[in-house]
Amino acid sequence: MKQTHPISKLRSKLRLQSLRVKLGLALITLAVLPLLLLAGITAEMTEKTLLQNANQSLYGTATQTALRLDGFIQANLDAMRAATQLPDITNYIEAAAKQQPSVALESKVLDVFRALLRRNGLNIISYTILDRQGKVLIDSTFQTNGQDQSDQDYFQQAISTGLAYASAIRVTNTRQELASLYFSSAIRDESGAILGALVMRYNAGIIQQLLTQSNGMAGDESFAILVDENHVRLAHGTNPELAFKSVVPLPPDRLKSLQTSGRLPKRLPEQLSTNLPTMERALHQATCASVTCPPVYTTTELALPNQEVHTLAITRMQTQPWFVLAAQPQRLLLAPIYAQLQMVLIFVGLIAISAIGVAFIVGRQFTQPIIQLTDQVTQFTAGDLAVRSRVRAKDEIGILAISFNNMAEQVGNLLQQRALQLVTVRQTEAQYRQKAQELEQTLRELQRTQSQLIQSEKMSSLGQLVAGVAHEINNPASFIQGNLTHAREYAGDLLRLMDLYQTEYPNPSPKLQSALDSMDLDFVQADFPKLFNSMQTGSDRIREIVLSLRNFARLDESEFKKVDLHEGIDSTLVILGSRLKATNSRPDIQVIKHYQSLPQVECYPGQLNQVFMNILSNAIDAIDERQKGDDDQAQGSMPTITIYTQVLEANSVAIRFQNTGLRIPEAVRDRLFDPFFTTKPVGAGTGMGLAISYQIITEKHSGKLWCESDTEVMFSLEIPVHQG
Amino acid sequence: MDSRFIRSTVLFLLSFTLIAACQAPIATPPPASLSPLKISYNTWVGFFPLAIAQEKGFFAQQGAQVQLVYNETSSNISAFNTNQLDGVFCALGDAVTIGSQNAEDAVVAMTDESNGADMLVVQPGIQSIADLKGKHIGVKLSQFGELFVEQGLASQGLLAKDVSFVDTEASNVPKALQKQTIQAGHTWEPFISEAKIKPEQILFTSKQTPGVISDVIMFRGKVLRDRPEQIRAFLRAWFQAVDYWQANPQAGNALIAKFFKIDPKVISLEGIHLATLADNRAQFAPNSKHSIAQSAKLYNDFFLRINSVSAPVNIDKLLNSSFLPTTQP
Repeated sequence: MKQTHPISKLRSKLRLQSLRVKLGLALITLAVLPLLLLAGITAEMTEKTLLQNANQSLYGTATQTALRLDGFIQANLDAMRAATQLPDITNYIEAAAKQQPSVALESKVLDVFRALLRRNGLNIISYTILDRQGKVLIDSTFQTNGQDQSDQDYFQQAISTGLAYASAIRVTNTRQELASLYFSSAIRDESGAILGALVMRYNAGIIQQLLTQSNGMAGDESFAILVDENHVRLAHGTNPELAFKSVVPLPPDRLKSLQTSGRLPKRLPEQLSTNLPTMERALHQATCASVTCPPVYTTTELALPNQEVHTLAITRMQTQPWFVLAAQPQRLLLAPIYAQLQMVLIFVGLIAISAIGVAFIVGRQFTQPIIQLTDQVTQFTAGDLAVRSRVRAKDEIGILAISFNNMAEQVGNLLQQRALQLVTVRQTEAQYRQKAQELEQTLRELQRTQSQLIQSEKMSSLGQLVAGVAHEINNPASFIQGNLTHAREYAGDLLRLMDLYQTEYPNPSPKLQSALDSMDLDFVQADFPKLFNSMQTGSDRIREIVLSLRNFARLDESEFKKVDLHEGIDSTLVILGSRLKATNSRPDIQVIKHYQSLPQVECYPGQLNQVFMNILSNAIDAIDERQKGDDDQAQGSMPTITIYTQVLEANSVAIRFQNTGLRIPEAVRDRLFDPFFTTKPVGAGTGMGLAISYQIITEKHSGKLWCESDTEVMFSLEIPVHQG
Repeated sequence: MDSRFIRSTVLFLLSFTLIAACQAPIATPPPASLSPLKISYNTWVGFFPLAIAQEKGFFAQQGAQVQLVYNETSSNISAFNTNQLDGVFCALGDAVTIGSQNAEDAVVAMTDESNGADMLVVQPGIQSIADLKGKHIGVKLSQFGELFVEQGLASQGLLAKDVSFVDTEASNVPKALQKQTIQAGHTWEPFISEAKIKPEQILFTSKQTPGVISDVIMFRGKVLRDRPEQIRAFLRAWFQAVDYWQANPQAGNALIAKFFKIDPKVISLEGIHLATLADNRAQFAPNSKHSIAQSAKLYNDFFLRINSVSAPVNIDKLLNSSFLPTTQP
């Protein structure tokens, strides 16, 4: 019972705990799913909003940057316009036009230049005054004095339009690449006639510097890029080395012409481009004819840094045909969503853990009574009828528990009644069984007693018979014995008489002679004494046998007598004499006697003889059995019965009968003295011999009888010298 | 089996939460310290130890990755201003100009003080400062050269308005003198030797204007913030080179001549005082009588006077001695 129910217990527990798991999963699903759904929707919406905001912010930055650049250019154009009206400059150019240069005027112009340079000493490279023909009248650095710059756009534009002009960015490559921006404005006399032009050369680095100011304006890592009408980058907020690289490779002829006009540095074509088709498309899209171009947004990877995906907004400048792009890495745009998602995931994790916790506790509350109830049911099933559910829940489980208790009560009563009946039946059955055993015992005793009676009766009859026969033989034999001596005496006398007659009458009558011849007197005379001897021997044998018979037949003697045990053994051997003789299968059984001198022993001689008889005849049987079987050892050896007698210290004597017969197996030896136990064929033995012997030795003579069978079979018996 | 399931689920969720919590919401961009420091220099004797540091491998030895950019003209200042450079070797005057535009940029070390190496060279025939009256003087305007020349002229009572300043790079001065477009100009070695200018053509030198021209190493504020260790390594190498040159002038000169591709004969420490680490400590020390701060103040006043800046620079912020090596390299 104990082995089976833990399994069912476990199974029920598993089933109940899976209830807990189900509860947990349900709670998690209930708590987490809507949250995830909500997070997904929010993320979607946030992303949309974020991108929209980012786009707006980037567009704002682009616009603002464009405004700054426009403002810078416009301010310089204005400054140029104003500078051309400075008297020192107009005086100087007027004098130059009249071929009247003066050191004083030049000095004044240089002072003006010095003052103008103060605007941005670092970035303004030079001021120059060109005459109507485009020749450099004076350069603030004196570097280009006298040069003809009539082919330059800043000169041509200023002269032809009469307006202030800002050039494209040019790269000169003297000792090192230097990008410049030229501002020019026509110089007029008082009548308004154009006398020449004032040119300011600005280090284009200023554009880069202005663009850099937009870094971070639209959020972390945001920056601006300036791209010209050929889609060549002019400046880059974070990677200035990208300047003069076109967005996509330019056609070779276009590249060549741009290089010739100084718009691109003289580098290898591959050093002058990147390959960003998406950005190129966006720039094309931004190139619209109308004044109010819609804002253009795009998402593209940029060459630097790290090919990362950026969101771009593009706008155009007013003063130059340039595009301003504001960019920000997308990962930063979407960072709030990631942060939000991370929060959501943390919450999901926490909620899931609490859901499991709640499921565990609630599930425990649900399953604990069920497990208890199940345990109690299992206990009840296992036989503990007294068990009752202690579940006191005020719910379905409680009702179930009460139902169980009621059922247990009824089942318990029924089972108890049955158990009682069973006990009664068992008791009755046991009583009957005991009685049967008693009867069997009695029967066995009866049988034994009967058999003993038969045996003893048989022995007693045999004894009487033997005694009677011995007595009857003894008398006639006594006659023979008694008269034999006389007969020998008389015969001797007669023979002597015959001799005398022969000597006296040497010549007998022929009649006598023929009688003598026929009877062969000589032979009779010689044989007669032998005849007597033989008769004497025979008579002696009869006497001996009779003595033995009488000795053996002491069975009837029911009192203790002091006897010589050797006499009893010898008598028995005599009776068994015929059986000791050689048969077809074996030679004579030799009987070796190792007799010590024994005292007269108080005993029932007849009964002891019976014991000797049993042991010895069994020994002969065993020897016969062994000789009958094809025992090689037995064939070679002499069948022997050896008899030892000795006095023991404890005032008792021991007699041992050893034989060379068949060994007795252990199992047989244990039962040897049991009544009715026999190894002989049915009818050949009663199985009572040794049983009776045992009884005689142990009960009648307070002795011991046992059997050993190690090398040879030996029956030993010990009896005290004195009884009582 | 069931409790194992629950346990593993809880474990999974816990680790999930942990991972979610630990994950940085924004992937940080790769550290900028991996890229080398891009530093611009020009041919000025005070900057020559650069050659030694580079040729002797001191930069690598100190763990500084350096990309040296040669730029002879003052456009290096512009390049520095527009984020194309991380650092620049320049005159203190330029540093003040830069500082007035980008307050975060700072001077981290002084390289030298000009003590005769800056010269005003003149056309033959001009004997004295007084002779310069009404003459064209080539000088880079709004920069340290203008202050130097102004101070030199002032020593003889001449004012700026008495002469004509022509905005000229020092490297162009010998050529302009030859072309006679200017009668005098501010320049230094090796341009003087290269133009075979005779000693009598030197009218005055920075020896006469002590404390006016000193040169410095300056870095962008962002670089100072993001890569301080690299700057420290750079300065260790720099001072190692300074010490090496002073200890082995011949070997140093050879390395410099090779690097700058100039005649070793024109290389001389005469005319400048090369600032050692000890000098730097003294110069940067607060309340020092002869300090770089005082020189900076000179420029602050000058720029305000000539109206080339809108606001004075904050000298305490401009000069940052915290990157100087703490132990002698």
